[in-house]
Amino acid sequence: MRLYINAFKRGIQRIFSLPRLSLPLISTLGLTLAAVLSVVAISNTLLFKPLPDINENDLYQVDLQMAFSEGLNVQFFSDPRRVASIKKRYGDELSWGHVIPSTANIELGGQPIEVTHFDSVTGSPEVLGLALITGQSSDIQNVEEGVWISKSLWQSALNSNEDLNGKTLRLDGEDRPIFGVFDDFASLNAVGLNNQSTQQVWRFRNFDTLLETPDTISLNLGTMTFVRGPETNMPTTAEIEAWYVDYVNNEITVERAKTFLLSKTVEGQKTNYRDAFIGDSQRLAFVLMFAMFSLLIMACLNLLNMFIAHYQSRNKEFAIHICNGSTFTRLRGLVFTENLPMFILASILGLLVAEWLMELLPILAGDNLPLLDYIHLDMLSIILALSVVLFINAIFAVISLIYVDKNALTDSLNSSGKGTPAQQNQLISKTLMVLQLTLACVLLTGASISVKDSYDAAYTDLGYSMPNAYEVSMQIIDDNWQESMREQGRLRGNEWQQVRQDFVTRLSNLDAQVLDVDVLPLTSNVSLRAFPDPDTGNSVMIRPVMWAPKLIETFDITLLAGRNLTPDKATLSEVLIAKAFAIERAGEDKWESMVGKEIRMGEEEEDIFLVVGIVEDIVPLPAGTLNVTAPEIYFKDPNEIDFNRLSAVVVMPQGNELTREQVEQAVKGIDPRLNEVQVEGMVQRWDAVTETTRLNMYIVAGLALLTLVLAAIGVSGLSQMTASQKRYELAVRMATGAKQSKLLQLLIKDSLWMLITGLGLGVIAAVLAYRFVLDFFSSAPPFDWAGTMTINVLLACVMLLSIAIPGWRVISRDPMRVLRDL
Amino acid sequence: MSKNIVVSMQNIHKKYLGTEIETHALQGISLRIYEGEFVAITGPSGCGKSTLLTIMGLLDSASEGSYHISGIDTSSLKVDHRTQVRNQHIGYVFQSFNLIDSMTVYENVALPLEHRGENAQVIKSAVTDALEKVGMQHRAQYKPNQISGGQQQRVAIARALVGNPDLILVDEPTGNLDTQNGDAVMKLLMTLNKQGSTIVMVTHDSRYSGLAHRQIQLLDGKVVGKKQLQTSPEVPSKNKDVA
Repeated sequence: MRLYINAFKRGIQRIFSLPRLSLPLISTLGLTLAAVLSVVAISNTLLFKPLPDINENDLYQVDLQMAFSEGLNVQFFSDPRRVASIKKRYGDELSWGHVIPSTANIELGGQPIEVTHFDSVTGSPEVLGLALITGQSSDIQNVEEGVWISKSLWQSALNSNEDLNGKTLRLDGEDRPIFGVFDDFASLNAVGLNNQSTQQVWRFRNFDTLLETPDTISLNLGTMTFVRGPETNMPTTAEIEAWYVDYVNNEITVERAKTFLLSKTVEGQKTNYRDAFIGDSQRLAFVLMFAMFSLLIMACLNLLNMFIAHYQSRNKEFAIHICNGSTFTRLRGLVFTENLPMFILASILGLLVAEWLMELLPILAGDNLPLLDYIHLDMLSIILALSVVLFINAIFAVISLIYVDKNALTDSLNSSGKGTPAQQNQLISKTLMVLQLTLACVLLTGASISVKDSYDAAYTDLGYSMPNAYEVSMQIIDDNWQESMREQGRLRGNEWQQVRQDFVTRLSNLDAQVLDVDVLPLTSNVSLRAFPDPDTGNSVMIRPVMWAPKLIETFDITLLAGRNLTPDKATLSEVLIAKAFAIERAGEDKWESMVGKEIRMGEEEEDIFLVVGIVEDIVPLPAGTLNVTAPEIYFKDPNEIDFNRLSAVVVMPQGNELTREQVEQAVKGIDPRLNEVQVEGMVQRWDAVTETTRLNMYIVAGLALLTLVLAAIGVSGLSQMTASQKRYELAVRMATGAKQSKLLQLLIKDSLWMLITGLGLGVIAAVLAYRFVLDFFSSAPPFDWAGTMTINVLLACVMLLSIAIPGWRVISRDPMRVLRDL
Repeated sequence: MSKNIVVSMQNIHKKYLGTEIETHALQGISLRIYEGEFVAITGPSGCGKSTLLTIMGLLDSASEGSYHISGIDTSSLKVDHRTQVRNQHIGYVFQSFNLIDSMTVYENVALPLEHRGENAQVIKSAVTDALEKVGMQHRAQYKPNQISGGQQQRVAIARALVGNPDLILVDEPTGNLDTQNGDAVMKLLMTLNKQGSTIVMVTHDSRYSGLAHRQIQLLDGKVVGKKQLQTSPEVPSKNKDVA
């Protein structure tokens, strides 16, 4: 026992006395362990633990995906009226719910707060199994008059006050009474919701009265329909699709819309709630797990080589122990005990860093992972950390003594320490290094493809420049006014256009250039419009864009053919079209020939437009954010006007910032039915939109760098070991006239097969692994041979340097000095 | 007067197989060593002295032949069992001392007993005794690199005898020492032998081999001569406290 106690004490001393062994172990193992623990905690929360807020048993998400245009699917259940219809078909057997999440600004207790807003239908929280903390349930008679808030908002803004009488919050310019408090709804993976928050506000529409109004004939993204009941009673996907045909035939009264909807392919979906909620995160968790475990293995292989080198130098000590009666098992036990303090420290560091990483997760993962607030280290993580380090320690203890030959103790006991003893053939070290290089290749290949993809996505050419432009908007808070303006439609000089003119004039006082267009070119607010092709009758999808004088010049949108639009009135309405549209419409003719041609977008005379110019295609958002492939058509008189908000674009001089206060001052008193001034800069919007992509890119690039560093440390460690063991031989060669370059060649040649084998196997493994990833993720970028070869050449160069530098340090010394040191 | 046989070797061969050459280091060695004897194995460099000693000390195994120590047939023993026999029955003194630098003198000497699993009291008493015998008790807390070569060899001898072995094997004990320290170590070995220890010593120094009771001369892996140098001492009853 004393031997073990002494070994443990020696292990503690060694942390300080042998920093070249203890520091790499504690830091490398601790940090990689932290990464593994974080991924395990994420996976555990996402895949195995019960959802923290809702009851997921017998709960399903249903959906009806419509292929609206190429690459763009929309949800037919985006209108809750349609959910009410399918609910009616299935009667009381099933409970249905519907939520449209969005971001909103409210005022509560005089404080402006950004919240997640749930536009929902009565009974939805109850269907989810969300606990009612206080107040009334959502199926009361006057449900549409008030709002419900989340527990977090209740705790932070109302100090958990259970008396909700007289408590109101201001939403969309109206004070609404707070009727109740629900638990935070966290198990929600909302598409397009930038900041999913636990500060939540619910509004409900009465489910039973929705069928009393006609269908809005609108399609949206980001809604969620769920249903609870026994699986046997659930509608099948075929039944959902059959319901769709009935609904369109019976409930859609506008013939054009009916024809359009029936011409589209729809796909019914019914998914277990958790699976739908986790989505791609499950696969992401597996990929992360693979990457982190690979890193841990790489780090362990490095450390193992270091340990083998360290314990090789102590061969004689072990031989003495064996000579004095120690069994091998006991020796391994002593090595295990001796290393225990270092491994315990590494696991403590790992746990601390993992906890810190958990805190950082919301920043690191952004919207890519759900339930971020619920991912924490728990007892399982601690047990796992300790088990992993004890296991690694045990493996190290076994392998580190592999060169102690119990059958040839005299070799160890009588070795002079000069040259490389026969038993130290380094086969294991080199095999480990080949394995490490192979893993490095796989990780670097994946990382390089991912980084390139993220870079291309974030920094793609959008077709326009980024001046110091701001999108300024106000919300219409009077539903009746909005309705009356909608009825006026496209009448020139109508009230809406007058309000708009007033808005633009007031903004012009800001000493800036104002463009009378509704959105910036960089926008997620994309309208699509379909019209029947007069020749074929097929539906043609376009993206209508508002034009204004100076728009093309301000955003450097390239005019490819024809001329720009002018504010002058013409007999026919003039338009600019995007090149993609010109190519599509020109058919076999040159796309430039579309200039001067007419486009018919409907039956009326005013649906005929004259193409005066062709401009370069523009992309509303960087790739991957929004898949819209419809080509742009620029209209002088907008055919589609967004009646929900009044907006314009303000271009400020470089260096000047436009604030909300400035705009509020400029538009003060414009109309009491307009509220909620919002100002968003183009550059800030780009930053926000690409934030996650860029962050992913930096993280993956960091991972790649870490892989490269680990591989370099491993190879240079091995090279150092080889050079050190061969220093006697090298010194003798030097003393007998060998040139340094020859000796360097000798060292490199010794490691070259390892490098070639590792990289060769690595490339094969990388190709196979990436093929597997492609099967796993349909959205993964294609394999990039050029990138893979580049990164592997880089790896090879780093490895050659890692071999050469430590060797050079040995052979650059005076040979007699080396010989004297031995 | 009866003599207990401690070592019995019959037709021991040792071959080293290289890629091209086979070296026949020992060729049919047969010998017996009795309890209480002090035997010197001599011969020129490369004659197989040290190989014979390592086989005797179970640090290596013979290619052919049988070897019994204290009545135990070692040919069928597995590695850990050989270790156990070595721990219980053999003390080994190396030419280069082979002390562990990171341990104190006391810890180095205690090593065989620690590996035997003795309790702390027994270890303390035995180590103190052994260090007293070699005159090194005052250096018990020193590290090996803090004492001289002669002192290190004495510590190595203390470690060899602390477990009360049947046989102490000594490989060129004076090879790394100056004459003064060499003489002192030989004196110590003779004293230990007089106190009852059976000692087999490999040496090529005729001054010291002449101090043994018996000399076995090797040449090219064969015994070429046996010389009884003194009347074999009357075998004393072994004093367990001493050995």
